[in-house]
Amino acid sequence: MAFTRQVRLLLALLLSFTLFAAACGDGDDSSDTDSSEDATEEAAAEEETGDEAEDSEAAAGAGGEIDYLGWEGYDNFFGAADGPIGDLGITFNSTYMGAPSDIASRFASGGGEGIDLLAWTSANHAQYRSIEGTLSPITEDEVPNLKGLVSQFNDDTWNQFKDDDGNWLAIPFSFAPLGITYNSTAVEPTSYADLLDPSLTGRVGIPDVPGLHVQAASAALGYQAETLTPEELEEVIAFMQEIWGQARVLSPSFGDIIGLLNSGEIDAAYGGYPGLGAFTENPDIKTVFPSEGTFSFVEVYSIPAGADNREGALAFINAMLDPANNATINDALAQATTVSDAIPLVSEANAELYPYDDLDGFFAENSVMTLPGGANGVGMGEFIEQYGALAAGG
Amino acid sequence: MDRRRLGLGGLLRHPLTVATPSVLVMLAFFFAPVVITVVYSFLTGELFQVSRPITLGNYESALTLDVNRTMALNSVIIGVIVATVTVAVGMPVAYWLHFSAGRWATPVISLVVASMFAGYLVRIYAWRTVLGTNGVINSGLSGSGLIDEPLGFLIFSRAAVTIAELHLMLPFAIVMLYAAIRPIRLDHLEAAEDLGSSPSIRWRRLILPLMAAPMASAWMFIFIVSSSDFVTPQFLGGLDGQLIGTQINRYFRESGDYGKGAALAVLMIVFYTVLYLLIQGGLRMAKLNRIEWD
Repeated sequence: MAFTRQVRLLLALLLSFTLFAAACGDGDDSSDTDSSEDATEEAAAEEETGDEAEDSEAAAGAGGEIDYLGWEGYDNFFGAADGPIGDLGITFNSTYMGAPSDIASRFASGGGEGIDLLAWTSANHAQYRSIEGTLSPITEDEVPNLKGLVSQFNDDTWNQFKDDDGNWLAIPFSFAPLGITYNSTAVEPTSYADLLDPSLTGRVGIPDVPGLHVQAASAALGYQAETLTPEELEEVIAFMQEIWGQARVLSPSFGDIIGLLNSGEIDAAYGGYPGLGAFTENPDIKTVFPSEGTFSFVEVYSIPAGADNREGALAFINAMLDPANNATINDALAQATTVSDAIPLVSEANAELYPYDDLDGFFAENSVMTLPGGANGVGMGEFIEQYGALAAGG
Repeated sequence: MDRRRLGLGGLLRHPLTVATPSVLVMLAFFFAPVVITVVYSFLTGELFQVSRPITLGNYESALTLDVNRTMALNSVIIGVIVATVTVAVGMPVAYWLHFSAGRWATPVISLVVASMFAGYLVRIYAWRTVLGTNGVINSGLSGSGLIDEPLGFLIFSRAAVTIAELHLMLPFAIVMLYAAIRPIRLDHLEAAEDLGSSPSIRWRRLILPLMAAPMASAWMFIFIVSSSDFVTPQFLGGLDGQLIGTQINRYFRESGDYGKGAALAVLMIVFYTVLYLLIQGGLRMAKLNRIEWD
């Protein structure tokens, strides 16, 4: 097969372009072939650029750009230029996740390279520690504001945040206990048992958040979700089955639950935290911690082992643990602060939602969220299969 | 030795040149992921990873768990209803648009297409407004004194998922069938009429045979999309309207058991492939799989 002159011309052009591009290189090594005059001009240009960069850095602080992966809204509370972290000069290049598993699956497949900062939930952190080498331990010297954490978080009472050497893998900046969120004009539950009242048949909303359910049922039955046995799992499922018998809907998110409560589709939700009421104009939407016991989800920051801008991420985390900043962000999130000195600074509305008056007593009775770890034969996989059966009406 | 000279125009129009981009895209974005999914389905799932040993346990689990059978049955029921109804409704609409609508054809088909511009989630939420306890239907029926209590089955049920899927899929059916019916000329119908055939005979012996293959394609497309949906069931399905896609999603995103999720996904691919082959076989037996327009 032969080519016409047109095709030969096209091929020649393509070849020429390729050779030309190869000869130009990427610019980094071009100084080897520069004439002395060109080199002098380039050096002058570089000096000028360097001065500009220094000026820019001085103006912007030492933060630089942070590649962020995590929940939406936990990356840039105050705006890049204004507010308390403006002086850090941090700009965010953010990727938001739909579920914490997005982080685990990404790192498990080797796709976490270059991420500087993660924001996720502690229950997931406990599982993801099994993916070795993905997180960079943080010392207390690197984040001075860590010393201001509420004692249970600082001591890592629940073995959630530190590695075996006592260094931090996940730094808690916000938490909220979970309970029953309800429309107080229709019902006033105080316990999970109240949800079984016949008047609530077909009036209960169930968030489709499996981790919440295994922890809630475990807490109510006095078990640790992380170390469930197969026998305990049976009881957990039986407990869930009873409450799910009252369900009207399996809802995809907490935000959706609020919508359903507001529209009158449901009267109560098995799961919810006090701050949810803050996101609606309806003062009748309230949350109660059930008498069977509650547990808290804890929002944390972590730094991956392959972070390019570890210093910037550390500076940001430290700023987030500053009492004034932490009070402000938790007011905005309608969640509870993890910083002792931030407690007097939170808004009156926030203070009414959470048990700041007796955190020691509260944490003595109620743990934080964990997920089945598989140590006693029940991992998240075993739970999900049973959960799926319930979700399918089983 | 081949002495033919291939010009630039000829090279650009050569079947290999034309097909290459599509083939490359399919290899990269369809074939490779399917191969990876198949491989995963035979490996042992760990937390968001898979590893050896090779196992058939994922398939055993996929085929024996009651929850999978329940959700698969839901998927098939809803998929069959949605695909059948949308094609049954879409076909007369396409016929009307092509043969009878005249100057209304363009605005109407534009409206059909425009209905797809509203976001997927927006349309699902719209159905909550319509079907909800205090929604349009219940309020209307209650206001007119026809019911005392809201009809609870309208929402968070298999029925709600089916209604929403019908709404989501109908525009696709109309567009696909309208595109397929356009080559049929009015001359064909007029010739049949001149030969004495009644409208029902023309429909049965002219339109349907010519449209059988496109209708089958539209049916298959809508069946696959609606039966594998996992978003609509989350918002409208309640506890009895969950589809198999929901379970696959849970395996991949909640428990991180890629092996079991992959096995379910592969079984779905196999099921859809077998169904497609059966439909093609049926069309071939009825000699409806190859239509010559001219």
